[in-house]
Amino acid sequence: MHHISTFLLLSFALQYVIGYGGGLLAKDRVSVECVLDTGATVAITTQSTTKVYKQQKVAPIAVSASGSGNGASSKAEEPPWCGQTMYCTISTGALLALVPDPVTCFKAANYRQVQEFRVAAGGSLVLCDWLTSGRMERGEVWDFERFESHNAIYVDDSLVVLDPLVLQDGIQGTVKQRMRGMHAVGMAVFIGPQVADMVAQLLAREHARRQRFSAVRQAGSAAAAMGVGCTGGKIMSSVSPLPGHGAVLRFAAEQTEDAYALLQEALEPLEDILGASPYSNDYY
Amino acid sequence: MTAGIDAEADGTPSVGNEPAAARAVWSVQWLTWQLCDSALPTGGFAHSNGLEASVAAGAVSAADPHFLAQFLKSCLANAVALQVPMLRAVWDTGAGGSEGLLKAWLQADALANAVITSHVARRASAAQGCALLRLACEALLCTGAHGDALTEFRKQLRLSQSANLSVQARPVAPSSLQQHSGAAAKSSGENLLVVWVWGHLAPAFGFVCLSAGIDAAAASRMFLYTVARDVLSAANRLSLIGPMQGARLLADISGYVDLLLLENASTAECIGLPLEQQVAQVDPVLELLQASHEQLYSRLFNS
Repeated sequence: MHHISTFLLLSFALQYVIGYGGGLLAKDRVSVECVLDTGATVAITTQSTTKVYKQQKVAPIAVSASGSGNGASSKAEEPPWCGQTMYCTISTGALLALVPDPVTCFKAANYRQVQEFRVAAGGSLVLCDWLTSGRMERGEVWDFERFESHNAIYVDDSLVVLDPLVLQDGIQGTVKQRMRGMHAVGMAVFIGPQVADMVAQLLAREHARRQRFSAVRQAGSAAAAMGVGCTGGKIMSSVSPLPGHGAVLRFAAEQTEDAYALLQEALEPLEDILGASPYSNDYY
Repeated sequence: MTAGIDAEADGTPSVGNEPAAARAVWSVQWLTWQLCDSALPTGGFAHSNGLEASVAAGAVSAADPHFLAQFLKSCLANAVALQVPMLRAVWDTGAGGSEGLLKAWLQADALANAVITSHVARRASAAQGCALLRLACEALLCTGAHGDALTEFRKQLRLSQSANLSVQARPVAPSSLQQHSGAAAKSSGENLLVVWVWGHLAPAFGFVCLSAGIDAAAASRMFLYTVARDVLSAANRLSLIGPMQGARLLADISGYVDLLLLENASTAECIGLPLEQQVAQVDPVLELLQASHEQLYSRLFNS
C-alpha cells in the first residue's frame, strides 16, 4: 500500500489519519503532506494505536549487493520496512497539534517514520511521538526487529530539534533492557507563541518537582525521578526548555494508560484552542 | 598544536640520538595523554552523565554492580550513536584540508545543539566543549590553518554567548517574563547577524584531536574513554563502587567500545549520508534520566 494525501487546511480542523485494517503491513508506506496557512489551527490524531505487523522474510539481500539492474531485482531491493512520512509546513499564526496514539510494533516488525516540520516564525507546533512495547498480553515486549522515528523541527529555517530515535537489539544489549521495565516511551515537543503558556506551566511544574535525594537514598530502591501513575505503575518524566523556542517533555511509563494521563494533563491547555483536550475521553 | 612537529622544521636541535620523527610521534602521544587525563581542566569531573539522577531513580544501585556496568554501557552506546558521528564529521573534513573545516564544524555544532534535547546534557556538552577550546587556544597552542579556524570559531562563540544572554528569555517568555521583552526586542535585530555557536564537546574534541595530529580512530576512542572515565569517577564519588572496581570496569570496557564502533561503522546506511542522518538516539530512557537531573533536590554533579 502506498498512500499519499495532501491537505490544504485553511482554518480549524480535526484530522484523523486512518489506515486500512488499523495497521501497517510489511512495506506499507503512508505519506502525508500538510500545509497550514496563516492562522490555521489543526489537530491531527488517530483513532487507535498504529499497529505495525511483522516484516516479511527478506531472502534476497544478496541481490542488492550484486546490483544487477533488472526489474525483478529492483523490486526485491525495496527495503523491508513499513512506515510513515509526514511533511508539515506551519505558517505564522498557525498551530499544528500532532497528537496521535502510540505506535505499537508487533514481534519482528520493522518500522520507519520520518516527520519534518517547517515552522515559520510565529507559528506553533505540538508534536507527540510515542510507542509501546507490543502485544504485552502475548508476551511480546520490545520484540520488534527495528523501530526508527526521525523528527526534525525547523523554526524559521534553522534546525531547532532533531530527534533521531533508532531502536534495535545490538552489541549494547536488547531494546527491552534499555527500556528498564517501561512499556510506553515517548516525547512531546512544544514550540511557538500559541503554546508559550503551556511551556511555562510545564517548566513551573518541573521546577516544583525537585526532590530530596537523601530521603530517596534512605528508602533504598524507591524512585525519585519516577512517580506512580493512577494505575499504580511507575512513570518517569522530565521537561527540558528549548532555548528561545519551547520545551521538550520526555516520558516513560509501565502502563500505557498512565502515559495517556500524563499527556492529557500536559496538553490540557490546548482545550481553549481546539475545543477539546487531546487524549481525554471526550476527544473521541 | 602541531608545535612539536613544526619545531623540528624550524631547526630545533635534536636531543640525544632520538630521530626527529620519533620525537614528533612522542609529542603527539604526549598530547593524547593530556587530553585523556582527568586533570585536564575541562570540568569532566563535574558531570556524572546522568548517573546521579539514575541512582535517585533507582535505575542504578550500589547493591548490584551489574547495574552500573549496564549504565556505563548505555552511556557509551549513546555516545557512539549520537556524539561520535559529529566528532568524526569535523575530523574527516579537516583531514581533507582546512578548507571547509570551519563550516563543517559550525554545522556539527548547530546539529549537536538540536539533537541533544535534554537541557542538562546540552549544557554539560557546551560547558566542556567551551573549556576545551579555551585550553586549545591558550594552553595547547593551536597554530597554522587549524589555528585560524579555532580563532574564528571562538570569535563566533563569544558573539553568540553575549547575544544569547540577552535573548534567553525571548520567545518562550510567557506573561511572567514579560519584563524582559524590552531587552529581547532590542537584541532580536542583532540576532539575525549572529551565527549561533555553542561550542559543543564532540565537534570540539574532533577539532582538537585533528589539530593535535591524533588520528580519527584514536580520537573516537579517546572521547569514549573520557565518557567512561567520568561516569566511573562519579560512581566512585557516589559510593557505588570503590576505586579498584572502577579501574577494573574501565579496563574491561575497551573491547565493548571496539565492538560498538565496529557495529556503528558497519551500519552501512550511514556511509555517505549527511551528518543529520548519521546521528541516532538509541536509549530514550537514559536521555530521560539525564534530563531529570535537576529534579534532584540536592546534587553533587552538574549533570
